Order: sequence, then structure tokens, then C-alpha cells
Amino acid sequence: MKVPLSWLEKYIKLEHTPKEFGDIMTGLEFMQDGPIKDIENDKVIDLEIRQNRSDMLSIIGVAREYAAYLGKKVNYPEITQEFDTNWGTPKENLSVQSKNSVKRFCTVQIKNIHIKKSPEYIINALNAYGISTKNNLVDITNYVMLEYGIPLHAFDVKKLDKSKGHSLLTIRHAADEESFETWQKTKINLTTEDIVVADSKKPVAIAGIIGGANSDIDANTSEILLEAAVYDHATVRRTALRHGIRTEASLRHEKFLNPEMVEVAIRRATLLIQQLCSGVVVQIEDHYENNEPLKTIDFNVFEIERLGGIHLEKEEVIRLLENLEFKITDQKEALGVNKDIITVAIPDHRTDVKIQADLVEEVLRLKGYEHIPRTGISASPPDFSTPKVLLVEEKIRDILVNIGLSEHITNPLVKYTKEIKNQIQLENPLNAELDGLRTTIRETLLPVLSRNAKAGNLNIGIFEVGKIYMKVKQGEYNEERRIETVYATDKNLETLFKQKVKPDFIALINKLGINDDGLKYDAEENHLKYFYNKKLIANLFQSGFELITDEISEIVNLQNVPSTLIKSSLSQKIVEELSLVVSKNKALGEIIEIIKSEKELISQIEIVDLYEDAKLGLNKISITVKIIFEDAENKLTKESVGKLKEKIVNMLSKKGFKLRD
Amino acid sequence: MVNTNKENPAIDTYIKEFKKDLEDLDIDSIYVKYLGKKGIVNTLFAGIRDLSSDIKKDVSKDLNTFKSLVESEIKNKKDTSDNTSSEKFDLTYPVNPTKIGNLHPVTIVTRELYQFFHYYGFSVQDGPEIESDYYNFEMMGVPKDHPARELQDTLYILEPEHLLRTQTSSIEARILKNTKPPIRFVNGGKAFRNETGSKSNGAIFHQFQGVCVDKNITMANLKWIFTKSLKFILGEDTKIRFRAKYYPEVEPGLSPDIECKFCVGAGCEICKFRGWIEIAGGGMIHPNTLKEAGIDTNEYSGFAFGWGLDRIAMQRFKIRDIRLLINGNIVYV
Repeated sequence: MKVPLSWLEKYIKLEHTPKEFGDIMTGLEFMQDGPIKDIENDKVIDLEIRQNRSDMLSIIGVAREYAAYLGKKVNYPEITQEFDTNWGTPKENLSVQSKNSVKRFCTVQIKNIHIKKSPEYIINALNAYGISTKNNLVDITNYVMLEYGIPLHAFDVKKLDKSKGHSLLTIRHAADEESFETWQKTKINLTTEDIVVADSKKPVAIAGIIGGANSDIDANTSEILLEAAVYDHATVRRTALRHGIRTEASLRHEKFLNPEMVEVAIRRATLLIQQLCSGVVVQIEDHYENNEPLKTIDFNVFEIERLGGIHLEKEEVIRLLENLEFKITDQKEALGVNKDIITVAIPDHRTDVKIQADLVEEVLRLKGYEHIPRTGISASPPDFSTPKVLLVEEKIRDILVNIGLSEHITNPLVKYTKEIKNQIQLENPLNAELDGLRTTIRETLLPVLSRNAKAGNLNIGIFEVGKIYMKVKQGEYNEERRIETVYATDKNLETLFKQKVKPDFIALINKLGINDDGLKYDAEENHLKYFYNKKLIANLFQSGFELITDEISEIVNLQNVPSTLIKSSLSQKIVEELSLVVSKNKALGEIIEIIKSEKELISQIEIVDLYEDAKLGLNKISITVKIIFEDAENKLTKESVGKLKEKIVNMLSKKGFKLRD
Repeated sequence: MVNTNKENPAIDTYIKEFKKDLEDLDIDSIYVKYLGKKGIVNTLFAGIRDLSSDIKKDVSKDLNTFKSLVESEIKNKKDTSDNTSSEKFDLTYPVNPTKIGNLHPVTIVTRELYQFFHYYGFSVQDGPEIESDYYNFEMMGVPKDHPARELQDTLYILEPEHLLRTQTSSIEARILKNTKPPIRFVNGGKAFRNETGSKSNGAIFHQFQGVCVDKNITMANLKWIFTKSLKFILGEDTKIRFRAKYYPEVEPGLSPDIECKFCVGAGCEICKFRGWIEIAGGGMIHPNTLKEAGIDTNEYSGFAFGWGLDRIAMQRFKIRDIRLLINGNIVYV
């Protein structure tokens, strides 16, 4: 809400500098937004008004808050009217059909209008706020809307279609595809969900949002219907969203307005039209079937201490509430401790105050939150623990960082493609290129590599800890945790895989203490699947790996240091080497699997040498494996190790892995 | 001639001298002194030539012991010095540092916060990112068509009532509904908005959520935990102010601001010229939310808060654009 300070001063005298005023309003709940601006020789402060306070979208609303802060009264405009007794039920001018959507609709028919330029004070006020001026009549409707927060609209009676047997204005649902042109010449196809104000033939306004080109005020207007209304906020909000029209009127109508406020606004506007346009009131019609009752709350003053943690005396509570125009209508004598109950009447403009907690906030924000003490939580912590998978994620992050990988976070929104089975599509994407959810992390993580390459980082490994998303069936969605790594290299993929991807993966698995016994892999083309007790726990690709976080979490024991990583340097060890010459076409992983089958006395297997050489023969590779035999009880002998080695050599040979001559 | 009579401690004297030399002299000098042509060992052996055969036997035995001691000690010393002495090479040779990975700035601040809150008895909890309208909005005091839906432009998935959570408060809703008080937890996670990102607002961002429901919980507790945690994460010198703010899921609502670390309160683009950064929001959990969760509002009260982890990371690491934090726009060096 933009607040021109000289306009504000019509209702309350400023006792602070503009900057101090901004700080005061910020503390009261209305944060100053942006710097104070100089517009039209005025200082204009922009305040953030949240959705609960429709009354604060008005200069008088702001004046009320400042007055409450000062402990003073607002100088309200004087509204003296001759037509007090004339308020009447709808006659020929008004017919309300969509009764569920209209809480109040009030019109004043005024004739003898003289259209001319507005007086300076109105022009300056509107310009400082940021609404362009048009003529005295239209400016008055805008001026009063900003003054009281209730939107008003004027129709040129001459332009309305006057068929016999029809009211001048009907508030009804639009017909399907009924067309409407706003005064700004925007064409809109209405739906049956929209509420319109119509003459006997056509809509002349979309209720609560915008008026039409077909009935607007121009230099020749002499007779008008002035209108102020309160609708069902949801109807207005849905229509505004549906057609993408947000106006000063709709911003207010989308919030909770009290229909009681309509009367004061339309009277004020009528008075100004009488004064500034020499208008003469013909008749007033008011559709207001369910009068809004005065609301009261029985307020236990102790609630302030119970929720706020600060003790205030009842007298102070009452003073603060009265400063905000709440009225205390009753007080019950205290019958017990903390049972001082006061009955608080809620002023019409405060549609946001409904329960005791709301009153606690009113009292505390006016008192100032700085007065609330800071107190430690005295209760002991509940019996509640962090799920294991979250701890495992942290552990994996640490290991990957230690290995040399860096963490990234990417946007899980991707382009939706029909080809991906079970991908989730968005209903209302902001960007057509981001209309689906990722089904793997690598699809959003890989582009990070190219961005890094542009920055000169060619040989890197990165990872992300996150989720992927899948549709299970209609109405059922699944999101699963994944941790994925991707690597970049300026060498070839094979080298990358053999020197980085796979060693990193194995190191991670070892460091997590995942027992080799249960770990098996299935080799597919360009893809290794790792299983633990038949459950898929990871996928190893040529340039990265994917961890199924939840499955890994199941098998990691966070309390135990993996036994494979801690060895005694004192236990007996015998080191042997095996040199094999094998065909290049064979999956070499099997060699290690075969050696591992004698795991009881083997503590470590290491590839020490691996090379191709023409001398070995066509498509042959030489591989040398170092095996460390270890026995904590020192019972190894040259003979027993020799036998083991022979057994291994035999097993290898059966699978076609021969010792080098 | 050397006196090598058994009663004479001459050999012991040589051994003593040798051990001292072993400490004090370099290996070459020791070798020359003891094992050189004219060294002590040769000289001593030369000296026993003229002795009578029975004495000679004893003395030569002593001398042999001495000789082997000298030889083995010199060998030992040589071996050790071979291992420790290094070849000469260029220590100024330029190298690339060993690659150590980096955690994402958001992870770093999240972890520190988890650590902080764990100390005060808050566990870490989690919840789904694809959320129902009920947990994301309705239970948090924002029914359909409520004006406060305006605060959060929502991304819906192609399925009625399902959306990408706009706030981590959805986790609060789930845990309140499914747990009996006392309740105390925090959570860091992604939230999604259907809006174009700017320097200070991301369409995808990270929220940190905290909830405490127990007997006698007040706004004074919330102010305390905010003060403690913000100073913990941003430094003891961090300036904090508290003001009222409306959030549909709390009543009363409270928002702490921190003084902008970029302009130190003077006002700049990052803080939208306020001098203060809106860093968090919170308040006393709305009685309607507690009632919806089946919690007795006469017995229990609670606070809830949430803040933007990205903004905390920006202030901590002096990152000027929130969009740097997502999609690898960060390059670690």
C-alpha cells in the first residue's frame, strides 16, 4: 500500500520523520517496502500489507494504526448526508440474482452531474499513490476507494440498456462464452462461474474486478449509478485468477471485506459528488439481506501471558485494545487465578480478528515485540529421534567430499517427455521447458558439468543428494531418495571409469562398511547393477554412479566401524603375487571374485599391474594381483599359503585365466 | 703398547668413547677413526702381536667383540642415515593442490543448524515434496480460495489436489497430526513456487522448519531460540529485531530480521533498501491447526518457525544472487 504522507495527515498528524514512521509501521506488522519516494512534492511510503488486513489497503486504515501507536484519535472525514432516511430495498434499479455471491450491493442514482477536472488535492493524492486521473467523477470513486478501502464504480445511466420489465442493473452469473470488453479495451470470454453486473442486454462490469467500455463515464455523462458492493471473496478471486485481471478493486474484493463498510464509503463518495460534480441524488437502493452482526470475543487476559510469555495488567490490555478501536463491552470479576475475562467488540473493519489468539497479537504488537523477554525452553526434550536414512545421507556426503567430489543442488523440474514411463507432469508450469519432474538425478546434474567445463573445470566429479519422482498409478505418487555422482574428463571414458568412477564407488562401499559377502553385481551393457541380498542398492555407469539411498541405509551399520578398514600391523601377513595373461574380451571382474572366494585368510587384494602388450599375443592383457594373506593367530605357514595359492590358481585356470609363463 | 689386561678397563674405555663418537661424529669420521687403516681397531690388534699366547687369547677375544660391535653399529648408523637423508630436488616446484570436495553452502548451514537444534533436543524429520492440498494449505490455515494463497503461487502436478509443497510447514502438519505432544523437531528441505526467480527469491529454494509443542511454550521461548540460533549460524555480532507479521498458520505471528551484512544497515539492493533482511517467520501455532491435529489447546501450546536456508547461506558466504545456489551455477575453486 502506497501511502502519500500529506494525504495521511488529513486524518492524523505525523509526529515522526518519514523514516521513523516507516520503522513504526514495520514494527506494527506493515513492513516498509523499498525506499521512501518523492512523488508530486509528497513523500510516499510503500507498506507491505498481508492478506489478513483488507482494511489496511486504505489511507484511513494506516491512519488508525498510527493513531493507535500514538494513543490518539483518527480525524475521520465528516459525512453529513440529507438522504439518511432514504435507504431502501431494491426497486427498479437493482436486481440481485446471484445471491450466494453477493453480500451487499448498494447503488445511488445521481443526476445533474457536471464532468470536469478534479480539484488539485484529489489529483495530487491520486498521482502520489500512482493512479492516473480522468475526471472529477471517476477520480472521486478512486479517491474514496483508497481512503476507505472499499472499491466503488459509476455507470453512465444513459448508456445502460433500459428494456421494459428489467432492472437497470442485474447481478447475475455470466453466460458461457459471454463476451465482455473492459474500459481498457481488453476482450474477455466469460464463464458461467463469473459474476457480472449487467443491464438488460449485456454485462457492464465484472463484479468486483473491472467496469466495461460500454458504460463508462465520459465528458457527456450527466446521470450515473454509483455502486459499492461486497461479494463472496472466493468468487472474485477465482474470476480474477481465471482471466488474469488484477485491479485495485479486485485486490480488495479478494480479501475479507465487511459489508457494513459499504455504507460509509458510498456516503462519502456521494457527498463528494454532490460537492464537486453538483450532483443531485435521485434514489438509493441497497441489497443487504443478511446483516453482518457485531462480533464479540470473550477474552481471558491471561492468554497474553500463556502465549506471549509476558505479563500485562488488565488495565494496560484494555488501553491497548481501545487504542485500536476495540470496545470493551463487559468485564467479569476474577473468580479464580488467571480468569480475568473481558468481552471485546470487534470494529467493523477488522475482519481478521476472530479468536482470543488474534487479540493476543493485537495487544502484543501494539505493546511492541521488543518487550517480550527471551526465555529458554524449560521442559526436557521429548523422546524423538532422527530417521537413520538422514544420518546415512550425511555420512555419504562426507565420504564423497573426502574422495574429492563436490556437492551440487539442481532444480528437479525437467522437460516432460512421454517416452519416460511414469514421469510426473505439471499442471501449471511457468516454463514449458520445465513441465515435468526428474526420474533420475543425473538428468539435472549432468548439465552442471558442462557449465563447469565452460569455467575451465574439465576433470571433476560432482554429486547430488536428492529425490526422484514417479507416478505409481492414478492418484499415487512416489518420491525416492537417490544420491548420484557424475564425472567429467578430458581423457577417454574408459580411463575415467577405471581410474575414478569405479574406484570411488568401491571406496565408498568399503567406507560404509557394507559387507562384501552380500554384495553381487550384474553386468549389463555399459551398466553394472549392484545387489545386496538380492536388493538393488546401486547402479554403476560409465561416468558416474547412482545410490538407492533407502536400500543402502538399510544395510549400513552406523555404529560399527567397518572391520575391513582397521587391521593390526602386528598380525602375521604373507604377500603373494599372481601374474595372469588373459583374453581382453573376458570380464576381468571375475578374477577378483574367484580370489575373494577364499576370503577367510585374505585381508587385501590389490591390482598392481595391468597392461596390454603385443608380445603377450593378440588381444591379451597381463594382470598382476597382489594378495595379502593374513592370520591374526599367526598360524600361516609357507606351505599352507602355497596350498591356498595353488587352489586359487586352479580355480582361475578352470575359468580360463592362466598364469603368465 | 696398549694395556689390555683383563683387570684393566681399557676396552671399556674404548667402547665408551666409541658410543660417544657414534652420537657426535658423522659416519665417515667414525669409520676412519675406528675401522680405517690406521684406525683404533687395527692399532689395537697390532698391539697384541707380542703378547704371550694365553693372555693373547683372552685379549683378542675382547678385541674381536669390540670390532664386531663397531662394525655393526657403523652399519646401523649408515642404514638409518641412508633412509632419512633425501636427494636434493626443487622444493619450489609448482603443484596443483590435492582435490578435496566441497559441500554445498546450503548443506553446510543446514548441518550447522541441525547440530545447534540437536543440542536443544530437536530431532530431524522429513516429509514428502509431492504433497496434498490438505497438508500444504488447509491444515495450515489456508483453505481453498483463501486470500493467503496469494502468498504462494503453487505448482500443481497433473492430478487433483496434488502439488509440490510450497513450504516445509507441510511436514509440521503431518507430524502434528501423527504424533502426540511433546513434539520437538527441525527439518531442512526443498520448497517450490510457481514464480520467476530473482536475485533474492528462487522458484526452488530451501526452507528450514522448526516446531516445538509442549506445556507452557510461549513467544518468549521462540524469541530465545531465534536469537540463539541466528547468532550461532551468522555470528555473535548479528543484530536481530523482532516484529509482528501475519502468517496464516500462526497466531500471534512473529518475524525476526537481521541487519543486512552487505550494507550494515545502510540499505542496498540485497535488502531491498531496508537495511534489514527478512530472514525468517514464525509464531505460536494457530489454535485451529492444533485442534485439527487433535491436540488440546488448553493443555498445550507450541511455536513453529521457518526460514530461508538460501538466504542464510547468502549472508554467510556473501553470495549476492540466490540463483547461484541451484543448478551448479556455483563453481568451486
